[in-house]
Amino acid sequence: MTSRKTEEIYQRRFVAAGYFVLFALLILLIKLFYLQIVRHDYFWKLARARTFYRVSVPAPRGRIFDRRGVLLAGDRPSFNLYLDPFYLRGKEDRVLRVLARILDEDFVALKTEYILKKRKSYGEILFRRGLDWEKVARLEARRYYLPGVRVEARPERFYPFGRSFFHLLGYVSTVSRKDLARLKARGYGPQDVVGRTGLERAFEEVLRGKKGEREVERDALGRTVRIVSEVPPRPGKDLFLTVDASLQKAIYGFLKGRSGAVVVMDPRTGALLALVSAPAPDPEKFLRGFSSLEWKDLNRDPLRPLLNKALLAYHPGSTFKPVTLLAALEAGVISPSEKIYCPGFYRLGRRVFRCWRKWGHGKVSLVQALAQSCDVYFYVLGERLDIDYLARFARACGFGRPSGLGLPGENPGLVPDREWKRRAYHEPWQKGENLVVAIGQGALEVNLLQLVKFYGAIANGGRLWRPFVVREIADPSGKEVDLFSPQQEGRLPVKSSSLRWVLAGLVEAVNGKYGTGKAARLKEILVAGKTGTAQVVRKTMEEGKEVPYEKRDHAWFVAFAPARDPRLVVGVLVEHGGHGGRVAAPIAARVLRLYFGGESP
Amino acid sequence: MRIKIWLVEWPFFLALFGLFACGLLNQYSAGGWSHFVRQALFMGTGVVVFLGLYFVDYRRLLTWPRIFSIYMMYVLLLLYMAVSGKRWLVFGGFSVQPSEFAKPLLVALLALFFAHQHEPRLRFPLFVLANLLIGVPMVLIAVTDLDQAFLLFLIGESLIFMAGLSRRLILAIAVAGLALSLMVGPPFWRHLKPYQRARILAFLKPGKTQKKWSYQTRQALIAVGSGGLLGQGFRKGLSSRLHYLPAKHTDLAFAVWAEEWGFVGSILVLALYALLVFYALKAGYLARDPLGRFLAFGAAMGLFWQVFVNLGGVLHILPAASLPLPFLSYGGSSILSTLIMLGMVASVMRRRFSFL
Repeated sequence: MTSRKTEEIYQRRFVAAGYFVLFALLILLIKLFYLQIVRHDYFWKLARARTFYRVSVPAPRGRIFDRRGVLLAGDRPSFNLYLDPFYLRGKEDRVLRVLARILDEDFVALKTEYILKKRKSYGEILFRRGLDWEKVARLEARRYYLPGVRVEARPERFYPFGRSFFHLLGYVSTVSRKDLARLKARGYGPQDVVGRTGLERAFEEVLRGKKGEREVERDALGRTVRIVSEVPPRPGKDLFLTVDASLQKAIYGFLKGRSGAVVVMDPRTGALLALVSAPAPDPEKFLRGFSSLEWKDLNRDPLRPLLNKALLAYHPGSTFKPVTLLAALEAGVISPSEKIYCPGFYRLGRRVFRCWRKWGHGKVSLVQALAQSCDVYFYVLGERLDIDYLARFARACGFGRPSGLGLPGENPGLVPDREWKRRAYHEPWQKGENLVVAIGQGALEVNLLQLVKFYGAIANGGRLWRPFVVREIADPSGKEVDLFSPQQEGRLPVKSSSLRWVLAGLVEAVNGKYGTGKAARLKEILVAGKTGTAQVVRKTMEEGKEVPYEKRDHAWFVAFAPARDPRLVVGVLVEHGGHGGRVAAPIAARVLRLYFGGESP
Repeated sequence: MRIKIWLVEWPFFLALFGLFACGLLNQYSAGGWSHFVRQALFMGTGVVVFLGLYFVDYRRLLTWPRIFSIYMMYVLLLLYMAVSGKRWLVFGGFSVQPSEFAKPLLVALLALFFAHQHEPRLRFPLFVLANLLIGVPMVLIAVTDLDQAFLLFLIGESLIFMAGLSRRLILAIAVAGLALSLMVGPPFWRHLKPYQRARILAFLKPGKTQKKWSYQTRQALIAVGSGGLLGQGFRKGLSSRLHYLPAKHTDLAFAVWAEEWGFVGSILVLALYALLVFYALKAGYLARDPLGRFLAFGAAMGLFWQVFVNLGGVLHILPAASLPLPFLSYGGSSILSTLIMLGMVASVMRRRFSFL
């Protein structure tokens, strides 16, 4: 073969190789075009989804202060530890070992907990709440070795006065999966808290503020690299209350060991100085969680710590007698000077109605009847009054409808009349029922707030003030937003002379020789008040026998002082406490003494 | 000997320096200033070697005894590496990857070997001998670096193709190859490391859903695809900046580039490689002597296969291979070995007009 020909053969091979290379490069080019131009949107979306994510920034919840500016509820930062199984996959042991060393816990226990929690949740796991500073610092320092581990400071509700304010303030807890479906539309997320009872619930929209949002750039190990954009949260507004924290706390102490409620109101405005219900659970527990045993105990407790007794309706017992008396005076069925003989019982047809004092009170005047709480006197009034008139009168005094305070869960009670009886039982009204209602029993039910509101009206000359507890809603910047002024709902439909008679009776009840509320007497200040012993079951104490707790009478006492120029109404209810004068009155006395400067808590 | 400037193949040199620039920018983006400096240092060293080769007459430099004795020593070194199971030799602050240098050495050796034949067809004994020359280093390298060995095989066989095979031989190879792959294939498959097997499986059964891509492939595709037409900008690539791309300095260096400079930048780099390869092929095409012809062709294919296998892996055309992309990937050994090959090409180019 000639060298010329050889050369040609080689050159053909070079050309072939050139085409081969060209072809291969073309394939690369086409694939590049496909990936970068045709599928660019798809891959860009993947890149974004992988890199950027949005987190909501919780808004600090509005704080709650008492009348003097003492903090009752606020937010404090809680450092929470989150684990993300996605980034932990394949290196659980290594990371959890480091974590166990930092948290000073057992690795095996930690891993077990992780596996259990992982099964229960999707996405990030909230692993620890409320880490202390030192651990947070150690975690942050070792962030590089802890992919998928995140520490976040979240505001957490705390209540400096704990249990004593539980029923007034309520509590917050994390939105449960069940609630989420309902609350999602209102902007709640799975990590958010929501007010459950009390003011926290009533003023939820004011307190919660508005969440912010943050777009964050995240690297391959789940570490936040950069905040891309941020909409700052708007903190909730603060509530300033009319209550006095030290008074409230002391009152909670007075109720120790008992189940009951105390409401203290300023009769001149309707402002509440205290609203206590006891016993109460620890409000912060609802965020941290109860153990199942604790929760069971709480629900089985006969003292019913989860219920706000100031809002529940009970038979008012003798505390209702001023209503009956005023109605009778207005109706003109009794004159103030008339005396009624009490032999210890009253006969209506074939039925016998007993006075609480078996041997009777003898001849009782209006003032004596109130002071000694003579049942027969009021049976007579009950017989003379038309039930529909009495019911109308009682409603005009604020009974049978919500007190207007606005706390969730208030039971407005019941004022019975003929119409009610027909609808509820399809039976005509019996005359005997008049007598029972007249002494605050039967179907009649009221709550403590209504009673306090009514006694406040007696004290201040007939003005029914709507009870209120929030006096101001303020922006956290200090700019005032909303001031509440006292609201008068109306007047008692009575002549002032009738009021004076009732007042005299109430003063005598506390200060008289035979008064039932003598336990509430004070040295320097003239106190007026009325006891009440509401039967829970028809038959009262059997001689010599211990009555089971849930069948004992409810003890009431409502007082105001000073009687001539009242500044304070105190209502006390002790559930199953027994006699109002013996059990409830002393508590009212302690409250009055504390308020007027005699006794320190 | 003076250089006649108007005869220098300027596009070849410009493409080379263009790739230098791209490589430096890419390393600065992927690894920061320290990578930039070291990469520049490697390139500087490479350029010295390149120029040395350029100015020295390859016919005088490359003699059979010289290259063969280097080859033998090199095989001994590979033997040591294979036995000790190491891929790297560490000298002071730098580590050297000896397997990288198999490419220029094999190109030179085979070029010398084939240059002596007078026919454009390889006789069977020579074919066997040539394969032996390829096979020894290939097998030794395969112990520690399977991908590199595969590359060596591609380059060697390309040279054999240039040397020429008779039809009968091609047929025989096809039959033998089929038989061998059936016999050796399964045990070979079992001896692969799990990650190597996974890579091949990931390629063979890609599926449509993202889950079926391996992590590396997925991140590489996202990086390349999210680059779009103009890219996300220098040092702004999300995948590389936030560490989503594994091996972004080395195997997936092109993904970093494609993400930050987009389709336009990718075409540019592809074009620069194409220029180098085609000018190398042109040098071989025009070469008057067999040695120059084979040298240039071997170097051209050496560069081409490296680019193709690497980019094929990044773009999910081939199984992902852990091979560096010349100049764009970080690594002194890769740069040096590629520049030795290109230096020989440049030398061939220059000698074209000297009629000796």
